[in-house]
Amino acid sequence: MSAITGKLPGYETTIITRSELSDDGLKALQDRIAGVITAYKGETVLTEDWGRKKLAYSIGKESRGHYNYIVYTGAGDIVHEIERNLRLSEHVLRFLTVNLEKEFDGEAFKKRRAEIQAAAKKREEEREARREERMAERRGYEPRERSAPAAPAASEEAGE
Amino acid sequence: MAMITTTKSESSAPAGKQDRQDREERMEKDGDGRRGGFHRKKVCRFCSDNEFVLDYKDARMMQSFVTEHGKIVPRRISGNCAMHQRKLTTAVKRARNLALVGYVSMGA
Repeated sequence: MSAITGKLPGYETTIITRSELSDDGLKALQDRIAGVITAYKGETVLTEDWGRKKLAYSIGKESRGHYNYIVYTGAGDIVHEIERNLRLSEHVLRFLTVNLEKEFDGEAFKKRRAEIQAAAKKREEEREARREERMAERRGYEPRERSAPAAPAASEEAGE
Repeated sequence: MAMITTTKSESSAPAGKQDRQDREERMEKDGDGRRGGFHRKKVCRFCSDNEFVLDYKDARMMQSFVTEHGKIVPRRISGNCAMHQRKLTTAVKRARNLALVGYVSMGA
């Protein structure tokens, strides 16, 4: 199928490396993957650095990890070769490769990814705004709550 | 009370029906009756909102479909449609693998 249209299948790989791995070390790893991709006549579509994040659970006594995300195309067993390289590196805690499409369109994917990220950012901002609103509301209530018990107490005294 | 006695005198069958209707009305007013209670129709958030995309990389999105113990929220509670629930389970499992969502806790 891909031979007819000339398009290669696309894959995405997320890699978690040790957080103490230096930038140079990370660069070396990225270069190594880039080398594999070119060797398999593929193309790097997108690379993202999510930075150091706290892991939901500790992996190999590490509670933090550096996330890297690559989208690429390639023929044959490119995934196998990349994963073999990742396994060789002792700084890689974990990785996950997902098969995207048989005939991958890099430009369309990039566009879609940007849209998704924009939407996620917008949601995040809305959530932040709502939270601030709630906080402001709570601050607004506090003085009234303090004044409310005072009023009935005064009337009771008056009744007695 | 007076009304009930009059309906009873007419015939027994419609009286029972009337009673039941009364009870249902009362329950609806109270709002705690299981039977005939108000049910809001749940809609799948992925179907209704095009910008809300299912993605295993978005941990924030996943957190609303995972309990604080890390369990996937069932469809009957979240209101997802069958297709999206199926996709969500794979997404959550992928995110667990990447330590974005916990296996036993909700995660960071």
